[in-house]
Amino acid sequence: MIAIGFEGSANKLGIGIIEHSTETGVVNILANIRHTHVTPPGTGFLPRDTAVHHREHIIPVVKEALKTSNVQIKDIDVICYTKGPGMGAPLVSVAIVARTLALLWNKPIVGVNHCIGHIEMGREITGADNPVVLYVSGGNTQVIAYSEHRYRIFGETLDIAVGNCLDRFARILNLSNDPSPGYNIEQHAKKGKKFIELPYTVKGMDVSFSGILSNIETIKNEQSCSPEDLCFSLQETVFAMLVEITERAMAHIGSKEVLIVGGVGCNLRLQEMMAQMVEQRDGKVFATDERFCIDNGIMIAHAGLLAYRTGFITPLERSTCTQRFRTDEVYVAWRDAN
Amino acid sequence: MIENATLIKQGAEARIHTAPFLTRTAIVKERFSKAYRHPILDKKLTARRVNQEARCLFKCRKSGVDAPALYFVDTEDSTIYMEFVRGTIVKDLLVTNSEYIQNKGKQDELAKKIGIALAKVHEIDIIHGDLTTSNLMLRESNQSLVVIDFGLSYISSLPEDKAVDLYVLERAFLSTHPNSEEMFTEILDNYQKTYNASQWVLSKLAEDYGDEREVWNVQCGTQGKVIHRASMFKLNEEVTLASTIMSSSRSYNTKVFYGPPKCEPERSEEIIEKGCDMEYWSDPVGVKKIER
Repeated sequence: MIAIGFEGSANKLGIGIIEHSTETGVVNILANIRHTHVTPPGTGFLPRDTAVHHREHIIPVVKEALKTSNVQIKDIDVICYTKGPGMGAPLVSVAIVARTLALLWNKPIVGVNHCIGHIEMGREITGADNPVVLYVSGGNTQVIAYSEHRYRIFGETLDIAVGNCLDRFARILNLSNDPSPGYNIEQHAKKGKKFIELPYTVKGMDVSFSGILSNIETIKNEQSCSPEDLCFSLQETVFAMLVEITERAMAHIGSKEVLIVGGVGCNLRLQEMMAQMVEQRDGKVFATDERFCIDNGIMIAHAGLLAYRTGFITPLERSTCTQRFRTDEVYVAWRDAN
Repeated sequence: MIENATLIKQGAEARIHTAPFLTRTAIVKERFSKAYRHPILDKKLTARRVNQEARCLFKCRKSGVDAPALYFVDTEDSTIYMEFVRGTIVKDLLVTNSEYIQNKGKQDELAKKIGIALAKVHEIDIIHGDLTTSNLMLRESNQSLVVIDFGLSYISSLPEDKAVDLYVLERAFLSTHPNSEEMFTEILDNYQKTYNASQWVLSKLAEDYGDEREVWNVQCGTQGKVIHRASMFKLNEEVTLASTIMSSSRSYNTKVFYGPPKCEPERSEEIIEKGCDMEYWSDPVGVKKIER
């Protein structure tokens, strides 16, 4: 079975084509094309401009994906698109293409929860069986564990997402957004040495990041701290918070596996800190690289196809988008109860 | 290092030992450093948490709440020496002691003690942070209820924080001790009688967690944070009835069904559509309008 996935919930436009063997269940990635809307340093991406970007590039990207995969349109079984969560305007611009193609090619359509896409792709690539999932990106920060056909949220951010914190921090320091603000922070942090104290807010299994931003705004001019030191301290602080809540979730449910997904998940320092924590607990860390961590069409195709194989189809009149779509709202029919 | 210590438990953040302290046996709680954390951050966090725990323990004792007596705080080694309480953990009482399992009078007596103890803790603005039946004990010598493990405690006068404390305890009760709703009602009753400002806390509990609690009651047995709206599940008739009764009377005595409700995938579709404040239809005309 072959599925094509459309992702455009934020500034990444991704189209992926995936094949699931119906007999063996082996997953084959046929195409994974991405085009990112990069804004000048000091600015972020706005919903309207991002939607314009997606509209401009989606047709060439779809064509490229079809060409790379060598798949004929008639071989595609299902069209999957991101239903939410994400920014409204970009979501719509991509969903309308998915819907139009569904009508044009006469294919069924499946709306996919973006977070579930990340989790399922991470599980598939790493082979992690039943891990505690740390989902960290520009829009989401959640610690998730699976139980009874749902991905349940154990802890999450109380205000902004960790990726949002990093992005806005990069904006304060005027770092480049190419290829991503997080990547540039990571490179700067490698040169940082001095640890500057920043607010550390863990409440039970939840975290909060907004205080860090306001704190940095006040200290960046006052003290003689270089951007490198600030990047270093920021990473050390926010990642320690994330590792701490992940550890609590692991202790709570008695799991030994951790899977890191989402755009921030490709940060090597986060992966390293997580590995140090897990080592103390005799566990294992699973993480993926930028191809699958950062938003992509493949994960939407994969999660959509998993649902489609259980008989799930989104009726055309319900193929809408929504900005709010929690991870635990999705009924996970394709996994066993525990 | 701690002399003549015997390790009794290792948690995610601390090791618990027993060790002689002067002439007595003490519980020694040692917070250890985390390899993944930057040393400066690690030191500061650990010191802050040791302080906070010691402060809460001390405040409890000073105000007449039965908690382990604080003997000594070693900030350099991040250890707290406290009284070794001889007694039984409430969880064990309710799981293994037949007297408590069968005798309602015994249960009520215990519930009364718990309610009063919690009222006292909240009266002095201490939020325990991890109220479970594993963190409550009955002292062997005088059968007094001891609140233990203040590792996640902090000081706050907000009714919200206190309500969260009660909510956590309710969840712990219902998920580990089946048929304990009556006991929890008794706890809340005594809490209300003892704590003057309890109305604010209890109304918060009903208002903020009303929905979640119904779902929780219906599907308890599942661990963790459940942020479902009751409507998210297509419940089978019995369960729907039970939750209707629960929501209308706000009574804890109604029958509670265990096990997960029957969920059907297409239902979540509907909720997504109804439950969101913003809905985007792929309307090409509408999208064009917002272009510059």
